[in-house]
Amino acid sequence: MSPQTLSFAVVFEYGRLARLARGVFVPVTLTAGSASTHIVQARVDSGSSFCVFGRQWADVLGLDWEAGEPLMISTAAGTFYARMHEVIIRLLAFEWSGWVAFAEWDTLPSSPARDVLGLNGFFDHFLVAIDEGAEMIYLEPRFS
Amino acid sequence: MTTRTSSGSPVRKAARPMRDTSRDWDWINDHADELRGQWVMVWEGRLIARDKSIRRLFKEVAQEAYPEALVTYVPTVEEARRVVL
Repeated sequence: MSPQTLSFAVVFEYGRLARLARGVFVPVTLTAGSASTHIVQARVDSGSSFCVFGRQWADVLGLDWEAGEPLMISTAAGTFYARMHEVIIRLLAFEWSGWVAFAEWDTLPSSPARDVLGLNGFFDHFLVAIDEGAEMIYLEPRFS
Repeated sequence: MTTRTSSGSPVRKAARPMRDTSRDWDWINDHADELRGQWVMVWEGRLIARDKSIRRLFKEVAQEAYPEALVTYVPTVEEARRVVL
């Protein structure tokens, strides 16, 4: 096996965001039409098939939650319903459009319906490396 | 779920880069014990609002007043100790 070299456009130090709860977090905003969320702390989770956000963000964006494509999400703790909507996701100096599953519930700390960046909508848009020891996440956007 | 979707657009440079929230996080981390169990809205290292309900928080401060504010939940000590899957 020969060594591979990867390069990354951005490195983000997430230590400040992880003092309150252990995890890999990045700041994002969501936009739909002329409405945007505030800056939200999202967990980076390659174990999640989709990007999942609490229902309150769909309301902030003025989305008709019921009109989205229905989705049932399974977790280790059970299942919950979500609705898919296409939004613009902004992360640091980058943005892209992607499908986000808005959970039937608001973001709750004890709920699986927390704000997550998953495979579809995030990992398929960036090459990602995490250095947990240094609390750094490296990102290389896919511009095409 | 195993669904793989080819969704959305390629990544592009944002029309407006995100505001640096380092000062906000420094303030939150310094005051975490006073804020536990609450949602907080912080802007430029200054607390704008806090509430146990995120929907009440949104009612307290108009979205357009601080559109680039950081909004986050500060977990209780018990919640912070939970293992997240």
